[in-house]
Amino acid sequence: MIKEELNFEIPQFKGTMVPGKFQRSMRHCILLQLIRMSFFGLRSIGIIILNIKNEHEK
Amino acid sequence: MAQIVIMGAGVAGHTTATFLKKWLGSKHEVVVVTPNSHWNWIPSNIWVGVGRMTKEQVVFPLAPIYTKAGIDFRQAKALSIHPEGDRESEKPYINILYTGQNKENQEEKLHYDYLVNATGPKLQFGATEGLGIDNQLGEHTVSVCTADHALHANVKMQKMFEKARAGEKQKVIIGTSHGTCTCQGAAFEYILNVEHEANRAGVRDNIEFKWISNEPELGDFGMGGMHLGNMGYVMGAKLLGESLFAERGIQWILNAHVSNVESKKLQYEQVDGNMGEEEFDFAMLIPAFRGVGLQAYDKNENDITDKLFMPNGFMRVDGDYTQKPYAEWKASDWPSTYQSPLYKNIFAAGIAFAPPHPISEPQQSPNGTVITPAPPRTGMPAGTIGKAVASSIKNMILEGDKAKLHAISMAEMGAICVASAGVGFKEGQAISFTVYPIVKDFEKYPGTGRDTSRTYGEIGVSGHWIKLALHYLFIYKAKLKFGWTLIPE
Ligand SMILES: Cc1cc2nc3c(=O)[nH]c(=O)nc-3n(C[C@H](O)[C@H](O)[C@H](O)COP(=O)(O)OP(=O)(O)OC[C@H]3O[C@@H](n4cnc5c(N)ncnc54)[C@H](O)[C@@H]3O)c2cc1C
Repeated sequence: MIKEELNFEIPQFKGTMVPGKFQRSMRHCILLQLIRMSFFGLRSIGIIILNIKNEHEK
Repeated sequence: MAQIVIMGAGVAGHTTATFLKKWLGSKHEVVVVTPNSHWNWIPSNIWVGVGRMTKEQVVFPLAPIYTKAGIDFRQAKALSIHPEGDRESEKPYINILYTGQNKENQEEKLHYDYLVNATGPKLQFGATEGLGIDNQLGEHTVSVCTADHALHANVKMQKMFEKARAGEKQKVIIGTSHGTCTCQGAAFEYILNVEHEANRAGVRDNIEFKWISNEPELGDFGMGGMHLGNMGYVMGAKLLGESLFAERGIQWILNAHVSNVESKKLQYEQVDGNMGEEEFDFAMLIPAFRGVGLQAYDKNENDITDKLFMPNGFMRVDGDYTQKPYAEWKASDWPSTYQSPLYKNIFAAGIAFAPPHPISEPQQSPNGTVITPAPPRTGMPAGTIGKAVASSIKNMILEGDKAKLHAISMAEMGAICVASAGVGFKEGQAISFTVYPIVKDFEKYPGTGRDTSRTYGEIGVSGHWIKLALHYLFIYKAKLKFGWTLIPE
């Protein structure tokens, strides 16, 4: 389903934020997604380091 | 020589057993007791459930791995714990019942010096009328909780697609059953994947999709929701969840406890007292989870199950289990060492430990039905806790009385979650999240309870690549292949 086909009259859908064609294509743009993946990788490493740091002796 | 017995070979038990064996070597004995002959990478069951992976891709046999590692593997189910031994001997032991290794239905006494309960959840289909009996799935709905369930779910899904292809309108309902269910994330992934496959199969127009869950709002996931930082904005997961559903034309029923399931029909009760009914052609409802039903006895064979376990069957550890109102819940209520307060040589890891309370705000219907998601204990915390428990036991064995325990509570722990929204190298998608900490800490992070610079989410095909990479990476790690210890939990 794309934005243009959406029925915002369905009450549950009224307050939502739905991407248009361009935004949707960005989700599948290989180059952009490779960059996003690298950033997510860095964020994940941050979480792993935090978990190691927060483990303490008791 | 110390003997360490680990009950359960899922994410937590396998992690504890393999690290203990690596650190302690042949001087001490590590025994794994588990009824399953195969290890299952459960997150990928979603893809088996839509026919995009085979069962063989998500499981592998445990025996050769344990033989190679020098771990004593017993394909058996633990029945009872005797932490003080019995009238004949003071040596603690567990009773086990073999399920394989040509010893089916034989009982055995297994002594231990240290015991780890990593038995995960019992899938309690029987808690919802018509969903199944005890831990057996019934005939009206499907499940993706085990690889076999997922195979069966795919067969049913394909049949439903065939009808849709023939022009018959179909209705799909996916979500949680009981008001106290957890694991909303798995159901969320499944509905998005089934919808994605319906599009691929060209039958989407003939299928209506509906989500049903006990969550107070979409995006709650049993974690009291999330506020996700992204591109300089902080956004509630409610908006993300609703937008993802709106984009796909999926409507939702929230605050719901499914009270009854029949052929092609379910009834539910909501927090506001509303009673509803929905018809369906295909439904996947996550069952309620509880502990696997281990019993415990003291040396005089008096039943002490209620001392070791909470009424929901999960093991009491070092958490604060005092009943208190939501406003008084604290991050410090959460356990950090996972050691039994009664027996210092017993630990629980992964889903098997009893959380002190939910993370989401508790709710009840006017009839008194509790409709509150239970807290999730996903793969990353299960593995992290499993490794911390292994470190503590190693210290206790090597350092004796002066040993320090390794501690990390879910209120100090972050998690990485990747929720699949469809398979495909180019057309696949997933929502990638990082959450820190898992349990909200309003004292440290007033407002949202979490660090919004570290709680983050985005959707895209890269999420799918990450999820696929994690599938191979964790199976590689679980098979103890070269460098496995370098792969984080
Ligand atoms: C469909 C689905 C998708 C999921 N997706 C994700 C995801 O994408 N990411 C994520 O992080 N988490 C996900 N999860 C959650 C994740 O699977 C769990 O967090 C994780 O498996 C918990 O590990 P555990 O070791 O505590 O329990 P389990 O993995 O369930 O292991 C329990 C073990 O105990 C054994 N056992 C049971 N009874 C006994 C007994 N009496 N004696 C001895 N052994 C026993 C079982 O056979 C099993 O080996 C998903 C869960 C489901 C159901």
